[in-house]
Formats: sequence, C-alpha cells, structure tokens
Amino acid sequence: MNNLPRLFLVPFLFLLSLLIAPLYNSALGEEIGAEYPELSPEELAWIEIPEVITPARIAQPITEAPSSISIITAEEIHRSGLTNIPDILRRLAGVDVMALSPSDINVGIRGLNSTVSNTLLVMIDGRSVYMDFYGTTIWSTLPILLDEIKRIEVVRGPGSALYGANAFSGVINIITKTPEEQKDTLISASAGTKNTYRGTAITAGNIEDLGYKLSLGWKEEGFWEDSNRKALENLIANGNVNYRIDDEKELRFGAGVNSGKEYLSIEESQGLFKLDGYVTYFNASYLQPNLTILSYWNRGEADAKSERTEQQTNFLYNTYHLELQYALNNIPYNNLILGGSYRYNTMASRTLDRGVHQNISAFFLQDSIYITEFLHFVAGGRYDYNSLIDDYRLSPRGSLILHPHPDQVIRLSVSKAYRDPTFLDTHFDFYGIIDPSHPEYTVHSLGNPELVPEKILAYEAGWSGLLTSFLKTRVDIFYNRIEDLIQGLIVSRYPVYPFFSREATFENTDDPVRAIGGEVGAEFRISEWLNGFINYSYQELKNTRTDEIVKSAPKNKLNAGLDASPWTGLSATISTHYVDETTWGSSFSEYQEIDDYILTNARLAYAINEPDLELAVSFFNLLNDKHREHPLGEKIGQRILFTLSCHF
Amino acid sequence: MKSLIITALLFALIAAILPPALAGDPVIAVFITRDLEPHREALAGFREELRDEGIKAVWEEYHLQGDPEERSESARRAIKKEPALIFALGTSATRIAAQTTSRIPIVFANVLNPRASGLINDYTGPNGNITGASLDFSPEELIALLNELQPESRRIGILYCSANFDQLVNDLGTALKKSGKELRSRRIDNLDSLNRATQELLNRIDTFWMIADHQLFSHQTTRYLLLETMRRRISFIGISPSYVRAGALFCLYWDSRDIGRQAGEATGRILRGDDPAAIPISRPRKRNIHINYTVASNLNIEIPDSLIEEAAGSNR
Repeated sequence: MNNLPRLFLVPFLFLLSLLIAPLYNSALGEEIGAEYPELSPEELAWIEIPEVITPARIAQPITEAPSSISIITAEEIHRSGLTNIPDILRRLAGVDVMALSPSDINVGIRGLNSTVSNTLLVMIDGRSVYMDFYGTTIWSTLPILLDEIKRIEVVRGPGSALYGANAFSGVINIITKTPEEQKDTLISASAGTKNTYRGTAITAGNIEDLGYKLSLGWKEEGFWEDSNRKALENLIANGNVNYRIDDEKELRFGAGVNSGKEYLSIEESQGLFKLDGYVTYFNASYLQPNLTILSYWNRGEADAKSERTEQQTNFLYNTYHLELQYALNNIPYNNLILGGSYRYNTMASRTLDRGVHQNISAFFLQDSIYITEFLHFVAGGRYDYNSLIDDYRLSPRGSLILHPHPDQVIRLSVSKAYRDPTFLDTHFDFYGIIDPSHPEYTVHSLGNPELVPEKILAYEAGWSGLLTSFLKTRVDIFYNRIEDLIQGLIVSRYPVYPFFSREATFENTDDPVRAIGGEVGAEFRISEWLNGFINYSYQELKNTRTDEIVKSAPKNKLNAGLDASPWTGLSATISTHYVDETTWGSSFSEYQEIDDYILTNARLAYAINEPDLELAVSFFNLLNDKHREHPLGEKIGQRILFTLSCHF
Repeated sequence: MKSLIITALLFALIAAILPPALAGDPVIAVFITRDLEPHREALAGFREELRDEGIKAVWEEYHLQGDPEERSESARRAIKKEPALIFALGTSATRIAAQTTSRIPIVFANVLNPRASGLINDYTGPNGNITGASLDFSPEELIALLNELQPESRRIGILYCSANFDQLVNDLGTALKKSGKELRSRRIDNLDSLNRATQELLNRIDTFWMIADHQLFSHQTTRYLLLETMRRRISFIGISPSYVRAGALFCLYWDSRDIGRQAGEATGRILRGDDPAAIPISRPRKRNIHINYTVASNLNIEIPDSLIEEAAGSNR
C-alpha cells in the first residue's frame, strides 16, 4: 500500500462531509419521512420516482429487485466529466475497472476481470453488445454517445436465470433516452491533452405520433505514453424512430454504427493488436402493456494486426436475435413473467479452423410472490440450448426479500449461472510468433470442442435502507463457487510444427474457485446543493485446492465523491478511487504485481440559460498519481479536457 | 461643438437603451428560488400574456438562494427598489415575498396548495396583497375523472402528516360526499406508525388519493405505498406524471406555460388598478390526463375512448 498517505484523502472527504453536514442540516427539519424537507409541494410533483428494469426484465421499484443493483443517472454521467462508460462505472462498489490504453478498458464484477474480459453481459436497451465469438465487450466500439444515455443499471452477481449466457458475473444495461426524453438539439465539442478531441451532435423530436432521434459523434485520443500516436479514432452514428400505433402500442426501430480504429492488448507475446473495422446494428421492437417483442441484428468486421509480430488476422461476425416476453400480473399477489428467445451466431476468421455458426434457444420464467406485506419471494429460471456444445443448461434463481420497515430492505438470494464456451474457445486455430526475430518459434493455439460451460453458484445477502432523511446505506456480502473456468494452457513444449514450437489449447480447470467478499456504501445529502457518496469493496478469489490466484482481483477498493452546485450555473464534482495492489498473469506470461493506486477525477462547469450553454473543464487523475492498471497497460497520468456544449 | 455633438449622441444612445422605467414603464420583480423547467415555462407564459395585453414592463429577476436569511436579504433589496409588482414562482419564492412586504402586490404562479402552505386563506378572496395562479385542480374535477375510470370506487383513502392539510382534506371529504363517495383519512405523526396506518387504511378503501405532503412522501415511502396499493389492487391517484410512470393509475397535470399566462392576466388587472384581494386565485384551465395503462390493465379497468383520446402523455 504505497499510496497509504493519499488513501487518507478518501476518508478525509467523507469525514469532511459528515462534519459539514450538521451545519446544513439545521435547516433540514425533523419531519417524518422528510427526504425532501426543502421541497415545496409543487416540487414534490416534479421529482422523478425511479424505476428499475434490469433485474427482473420488467420495470419495478429498486426495493423489489432480486439482485444487488446500482444505478447511474444521466445527470451523474454528465457531471462526472468522464468520456467513457468504464470510467463512469469506477464509482460503483464491486465493479472492477482496468484501463490498459484509451481504447482498451476492461470491466468485471466482483473480481472476475482480465484482459478481453468476457464474464459480463452488457446491453444497450436490452440489445446485447458483447461480441458473441468471445463474449468480450470492447467498450470503445459501442455505438453510443454518453449524452444519449438515460441511465446505466448495474447488477452484481449472476443474471443467467433471466438473461442466459454471459450474465455470469453481472449485467450492465445501458438505457438510452427516447426521442421525447432527449428532445431538441445538443451540440458539444471537447479538446484536451493527449491529442483528445471529441464532438457530439444529437437532435430529437416528434412529428405527431412519430418520434425521431439522430446522433453523430467523433472521438479521437492519443496513447497516454505517446500522444502523437492515435490510440482511438471512432465515428459513431445512430438513428432511432419510435412510432406510437395507439395509446397502448408502440413500434421502435434503431440502427447505428461505430467505425474506426482501436488497439487491444491480449497477450504479452503479441503486443498491441490494432483493430480497424466497424460494429453495426439494426433493431426493431414492439411494445404493448405486458408484451415485448425484441429483435436485432449485430454485425462486426475488422482487420487485426499485431504490432509486435506483424501477424494479421480478421473477423466477421453476425448475431441475429429474436425475443418475446409476456408479463402476467393479474394473478393476485403474483407477478409472473415468461418468455423465450432464439439467437443465431455466425463467424468467419483466419484465426478459426473453419467458418462456424451456432443456435441458442431459450425459455425463461420468473414469478414474484407476495407472501405478506413484509415479505416476497422471487423464483425463476432459464433453460438454454446451445448447438455449439450440443447441450442444455438450466439456470435457476431464488430470492427472499423482506421489508422490515418501509425504508429498509433485506435480500437473500441464491442462483446458478453458466458461461458457455465461445467460438474462439472451441475453434481457435492460430500460430502465434513468440519472437519476431525468430519466426520459427511459435505457439500453435487450438480450440477445444470438448469444453463444458463455466459454472457459478452464488449466494448473496444484502441490506439497504434510509438511515436518516439524508443518508442512504447498503451492505452486500457474497460467496461464489466457480467451477470449470476456461483457461489457456501450454499443453506441449516439444517440437510440433515447424520447429521448437509449443502447442496450447483451452481447458476447463479441475479446481473450483471460491470468491468471497462484500460491499458497503452510503449516499448522503449534506445540503440542497451538496451530495456525496462513499463505498468500500472487499473481494478474494482463491483456488480451493491450491490456494493459488486464478483470476486476478484487487482485494480492497474504496470510492468517494462529492457533487456541489453552490450557485446557479456553477457545478463541481470530485471523485476519488483507491484500488489495492493486484497480481496479474496467466499460463502464457509471468505473474506480475501492480501497485495500489489512487485515481482522482474532477470537473468544474459553468452554465447559462439563454442561450443554453455550458463550459466545463474535466481533470482525469487530478493528483497525477502515475500508475499502471495492468502489466501490459500504459502508465496513466493526468489529463485535462475542455468541453463547450450548447442545447437549443 | 464636436464635444457637444458627441455628448448629445451619447445621451440619445443612453435614452434608447436605458430601462424604460425612466419612461414610466412598471418594474416587475421576479422572485425565483430554484431554476426549474416548469418555472421557466411559467415565466415565458407570463411574459407572453403581458405582451399580448400590450403591457410594457421592466423585468428584474431575483434568484433567491442561500440560507433563509440570505434569501430574505435579497428580497429586501428587491423591495427597496419599489417594484410595481412581484411575480413569484413557486411556494418558497411566494412565501419570501409575502414575509417581506404586505404593501406591494404579489402575483404567484406554480404554487400547489397555497392554502395549506399558509399563503392564502381562501381561493375566492385571497389575502391583502397576494393573488395568483395555483396548480390545484378542483376536487370535483378529479372526482369526475375517477368516476369515468372507476365508477365503482366508493371509499377513498388519504394518508398525510402535516396538519396544514386538514382543511384540504375536509374540503375533499365534502366534495366526495356530494358525489356519493366516502373519504377515509388518516393523519400520522411519525414514520413508525406509517406501516400500521397504511395497512389499516388500505383494508378499508378502493382508491388511494395522494396529496402533496412532502413530510410523508419520499422516494421510499412513495414506493412502499405504490407497492402496497398494487398488491391489493387498489388504485392510486398521483399528483404528477412521474408518479403515474412509477405505478399510479392516473393524474391530472397542468400546463405550466398557461399557468404563467393566468398569472399574467391577474398582473394585467392589477397594473390597470384592480385590488389583488379582489382577484380570485385561479386553478389550471388547461389539463392533461396521464394514465398508466399497465396499472389499468392490472386493475381490470376499461378506459373509455373519450379518455384515451384526451390522455396525452400516458404510460404503459
């Protein structure tokens, strides 16, 4: 813990907040239930009562959710001043974020993080955006602009009972604004250090029953250690049309593309991989009370080249998805949802032994049973058939939710989830050069069609509540048992082909992994103009037989932040994140330790109303605590970004 | 000669750009405590109305912020300038204006339940120097809508904390009685009794009627009450579309710009010489009905075609 002195910054901020709090709370009053003591009656009418969609696939109050869930709102995204979704997620307890370069940031939940992390289900408006051929989400290629996001819902723990494969360690659902919510036109431009330039233009509106939204964005950023080289260049365009058939039925269509170049680090021997290609999608959905039909097509194509070995490859994938969901909630004291889906994946690549395709069909069902006014039970499960492994899985989940007090919720849950082997796991076929000066030394990596799905059995208990009118707190603890993790292994070290080469493949590990940990956090309101949060996470993953590290994860993490609007037009935010030392490695590379670090981000903005303009300056790594977050990653220093935005 | 011409030109320029107050236009002080979209809408409507009525005025906006003493001090500075009228947006701004002057006319807009907040005694004959445009729909209008949606609903329940709402609850009881319905109200003193009071009340009612009591309604308690009513198939009448989105059956909602215009009409009368005390408090004349169709479906409520046509922003 080299950063111990600076670590005190985090509790210092929290303590400072608590010290200031009584000064302001003299005006808060002691009324019962006075969460909004300074609100006028009419302002009570204008506040938004939040709903949550992700955990149970239907809109529901967060207190009813069968999972540990956090929400980041559009306002929090805007006021963070951050430029990508993973950095925004750093504020949440239990979420692991690891940045290697501007275009290569990985996210895991409760310790399951790695390069090309693939244990997380990421969706935009219910459409999966991970790449099915390996299950990974390349965040910089997502066809979405931050200003389009209405909220981000993050579910910790498995969600396979409703969402199927990839909802292994958690689910992140990014919900965008409808044309009505986006409304009008936004133009913003940013420029900053490290050759960072960004531009956004969004316009939305309604023509009678037709709502439309068009967005266009550009982002480019240099490498952090050599900003003259571009690490990221992306053009993003989206179009959405919503048509209201009548007051009960609606059709929604959307299409978009993210085209550009980015770099990924996969293995040390290959160095940086440059990707040059596009990701595109088309979706159509039909909504009516209790019935949702969702269909989409995802397609991605890219050329990839290793900078170190100059080896080239490519990939082209397609995902076709159709899903139907029906909510049956006219049974007294029950809320039943059921549905099914069909998914067809194809992929062609020089790194595969052949062109491959896959059918996944699923059926899911979940019921919320309200036993008494203090207690309800959520039970459900999902049946999936996957043609790639020619096998089926059943992912059940059960949660007991108690409301001992209107302001408090206790949740106990158990669930089982799977992550299926992917095309790369089963059909990989690639000769990787180990040393560019001796191209005869190669690692021949082969997929393994005999792989079985990774399994996780998760137990979780949580409590959340409103301790006072200005302090919300939550505590979650978990125990996960993970089996059959898929990992790359060197299986032979003798000459195979052409000379002195090695052979590698993917195998399921024999040893189960035990993950234990928990999160504790608080959100507090110090005054009408000052809010804050603080949270701490602990996690430990061990091979139950050998006690060896299987997947690397920082043990301790601490996040804290303050958000102030002291005068009309002026706003300031600061957030700081402490991440404990971490050991990273695999069977292909040496295990290396990364020091603990503190990352502090801040934003200062001034806005005027007529015209609706805002000028902001954002500081990333304000304290300039230069650090790496992975052995293959770049050193991260301070960055500054100026943004001017106009809304009309 | 040259300096004389320059001086004359400067005077001409100053005369052109000086506040028309010097030429006798009335000064209107606008009091705002929070910069909210509905307030901006109401202010735009207010200005439109005065412009349409041919009233020229000088605008001075006062953003009353900080602690209560700082707000009062800002208001006192505004009063010292002797404006012809104060236009106050929202309850807080109106209260500060009323505490600062009993002489200068005050016209408010965007105020919900002005009587419960102690700003007026009566809708028809308000206090000495205060009048304005409230956000309160008449109980009869809401009851008529409830009758269209759920004619079989007979027992209406209200839960509240603040004694300031006693009069409102009494008026509602009278209006419900006239329409053949019965009001069952329950006032609670602390959150510990919320659970029991809710259970007792919900056992005896068909419809829960929310009133804008910020001492009772928080995110947590609103969710709790919405869930309890949903589980028992009891309809919930909300106070705004956000409650309908969250699970209330319906609400009536106002048009903030038109509320501003209504306040502008009252201002026009005052500037033409009417006494504020003689101008009744207006209620919203434009209404939008918001219905949650999913909740309606759960309650087996068939929505009449006439209401479907009128319900502009509805939720499913």
